Amino acid sequence: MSQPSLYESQFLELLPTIDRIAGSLARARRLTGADADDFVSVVRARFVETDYAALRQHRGEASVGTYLTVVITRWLQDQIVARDGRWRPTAAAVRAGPVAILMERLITRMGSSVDEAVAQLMTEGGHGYSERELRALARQLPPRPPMRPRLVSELDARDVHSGARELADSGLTSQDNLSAEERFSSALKDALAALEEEDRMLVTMRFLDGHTVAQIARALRIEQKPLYRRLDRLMVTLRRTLEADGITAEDAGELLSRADQ
Amino acid sequence: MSEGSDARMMSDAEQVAALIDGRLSPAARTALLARLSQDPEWRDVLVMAAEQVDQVPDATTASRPLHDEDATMLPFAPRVQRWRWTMAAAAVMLGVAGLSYWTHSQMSIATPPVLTLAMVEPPAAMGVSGGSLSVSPALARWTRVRAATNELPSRAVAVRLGALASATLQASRAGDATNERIYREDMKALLGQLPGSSPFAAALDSTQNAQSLFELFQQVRALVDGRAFDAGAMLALAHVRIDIASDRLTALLATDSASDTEVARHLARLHETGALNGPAPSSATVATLDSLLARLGH
Repeated sequence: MSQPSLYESQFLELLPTIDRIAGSLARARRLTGADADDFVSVVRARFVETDYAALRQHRGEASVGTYLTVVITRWLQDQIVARDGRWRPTAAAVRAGPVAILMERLITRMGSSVDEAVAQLMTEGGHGYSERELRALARQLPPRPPMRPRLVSELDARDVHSGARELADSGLTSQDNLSAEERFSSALKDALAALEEEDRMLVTMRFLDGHTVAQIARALRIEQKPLYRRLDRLMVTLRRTLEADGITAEDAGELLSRADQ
Repeated sequence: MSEGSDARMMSDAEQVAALIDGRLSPAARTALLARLSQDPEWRDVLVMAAEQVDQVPDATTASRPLHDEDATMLPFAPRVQRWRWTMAAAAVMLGVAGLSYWTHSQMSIATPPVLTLAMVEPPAAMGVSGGSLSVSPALARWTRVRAATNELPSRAVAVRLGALASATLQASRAGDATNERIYREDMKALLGQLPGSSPFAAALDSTQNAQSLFELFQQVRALVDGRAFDAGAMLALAHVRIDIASDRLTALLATDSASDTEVARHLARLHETGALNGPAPSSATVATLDSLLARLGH
């Protein structure tokens, strides 16, 4: 039997860490039982099939553990995109604010029912909403069935333009509404482009992706408490820019009328 | 997923991981955030991975400081490679290409700026893949016109010298004697604006092979703003292989991008059109690169 290569040895040494990361990620994405085991096996196989490329290409700029976590997270993300397609919030959810995006993500991406989504958000403190308000918010979201597993090539998944998908998902049929959405999206894009890089990232993560302030603070390694005030200030700036561009509060919906929760 | 896109993914993953670890320099962090704000998939990965890192703290124990003395050594890299006689010829070829690529890969946005041969000329194996390597006509025009201008700010001189150094090496490797001579003359004209550079200008006439030229250019780089020189070199390299220049270029221009809306606009265009991912730049991308060169080099 031949000696294992150096990378193979490294891989075997790191295997418990790799398995732990993959298992934890699978649980976080609600993969259970065989699906979770499958994912752990896929991760192991990916290391071997690529001749341990992930290990060979680590340059030492980040710690090994964090680097492996990011690589495996990306693989999981790619697997989900290949299976379900890319997920982006609907324009209606964006206009209804970050909590609506969070709810839409739970319902359409994670497969939760409205009751489950409301219950989860309530366990997180309600994000500034009462249970009744959360249910009202859920009713504002356009009907979109949870994504179902379907076979698409990775290339196909990549080629679907997110803007086109958002449009298809938005449920807008009226030409007038479409124009208003387009005008709002275009103005929002311009307003975001005018912000500093970190500010743009903060606003995008909070108000377009629907991530919580705690998640953003953790991801960008910035203090959470001042972040609330900073996001509020950024929203004021964004509101002024959009208003100067002719976007009214009615056009922008909750995005501009409700302070950050 | 192709090997190239896999390699790019790993490189992006390392930067995202360095962001989570808080190990990026302010400029590198700004450049990465600018990219991430355009990429919803990576933003989701960032959030999910940061959560995991905090939840599984022992996953980060196998770490080492970024700025170790041997920070450029790959943590997983073997110290001794076994020589295989049966693969000797192939290994030599792959070794040259691999060394160039590895050297390039070390030019991450988080490491201190150091010019390497791979930064000013594309790896050999890549250059010959589409036939003989030649200097972009657009770059040739730019260097010819720009080098002739006198009384330039020092940073502009550095950018132009960097671009000319890369172009000279590219021409030398391609056996393009005509353009190589032009670039050498242009460099000499620019060096004339720098006090104490006459020995280097004289050496340009007598230095022939690419390796010696590279060593000479290293010395020239030491006379000027090194980051500006590197930015020029990266812009010139991007005319031939934009994918291997893009990360470094984005990082080098982060400060310019923050203070100069024109530079920011050009960089945003490169990102938006996906130009940074393809190996050979389109004519529209070349035009954007030329605009960036013109902006930085005046």
